[in-house]
Amino acid sequence: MYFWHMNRLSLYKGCLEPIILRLLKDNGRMYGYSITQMVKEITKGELQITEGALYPLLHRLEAEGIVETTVENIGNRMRKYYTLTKAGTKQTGVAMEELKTFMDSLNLIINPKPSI
Amino acid sequence: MKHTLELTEEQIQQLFYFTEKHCVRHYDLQVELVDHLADAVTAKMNEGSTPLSFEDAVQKVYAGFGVMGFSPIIASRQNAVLQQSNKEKLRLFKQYFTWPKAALTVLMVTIIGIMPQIIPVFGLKLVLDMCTAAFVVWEVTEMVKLYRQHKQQKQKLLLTENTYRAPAFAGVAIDLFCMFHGWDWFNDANAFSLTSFYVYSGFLLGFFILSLSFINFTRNLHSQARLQYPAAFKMW
Repeated sequence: MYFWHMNRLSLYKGCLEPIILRLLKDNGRMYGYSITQMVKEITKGELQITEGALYPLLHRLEAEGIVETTVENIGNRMRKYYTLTKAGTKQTGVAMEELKTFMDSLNLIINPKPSI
Repeated sequence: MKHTLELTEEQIQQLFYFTEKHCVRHYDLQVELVDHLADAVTAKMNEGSTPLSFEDAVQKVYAGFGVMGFSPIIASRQNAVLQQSNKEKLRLFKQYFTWPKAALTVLMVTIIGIMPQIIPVFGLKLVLDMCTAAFVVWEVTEMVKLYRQHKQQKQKLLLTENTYRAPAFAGVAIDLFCMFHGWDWFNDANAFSLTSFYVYSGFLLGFFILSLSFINFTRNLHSQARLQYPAAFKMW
């Protein structure tokens, strides 16, 4: 069970960036915990992003100027929100195209067309 | 209807202590992790039929960060801040070579070019001496101002960690001054030539632009930090 879970996670690993970019594009601004919960909800618990994978990725995207951050007071604490920059919106389109091409290629391997 | 447990101010403070105990020393990163922990702990305390204590919920949530705990997040944040800082410093420096700030650079280069035509060599030496003295005084004054600004910060922030040391060119300028100037300049007027003037004023101009861009960088970053993390600039 553990190994199967690990394998599934490694299958998703390369897709984490396009997933986050897409979520930010669809939802405007999000914070770390909301991203993990939304991914869990959309995939019905199939994909659970770990904090150790999420935050380094968000920090890298911020350093590359793909996302920008704002900090807001939410009562008893502060919350850091992530939003796509202009460059990030462009990057999301590219990442989605790449992901689609990748999925098409995978599909060709999994369901090869019968030769004529 | 099930009663939803919310975290108290005291429990939020405990989460700050928890992150600090686990080597998260910078307030800006603590803020992000505490918010995440608070949400996750609240969810954990409210799930299931048997309520979980705050302490147990914190331990369970922290276990989800993996065996490395907060370490990969700290390292990634430090790298990201460094990368962003370098990019921003370069952008501000490049501004002096693009319109409109390039006008200032062109003006200074023109003055350097015109001066030998209207001032005798001995006078040029004097002008350079005065410019170096003015540069060092200006740089030290700016550094004192930045130090005062830095002192107002009560919490460590990753965002501003490397800014205070940024504009430290005064010392380098003095070194170069001694190297190029040499003590010969004082004793022997012939040792100073037009080439010495152009080379030294070029270096001085370069340091001035570097200092200007680094000082701007530090000021901008402090304003941004003050806006984003006002609590880091007050006494608790």
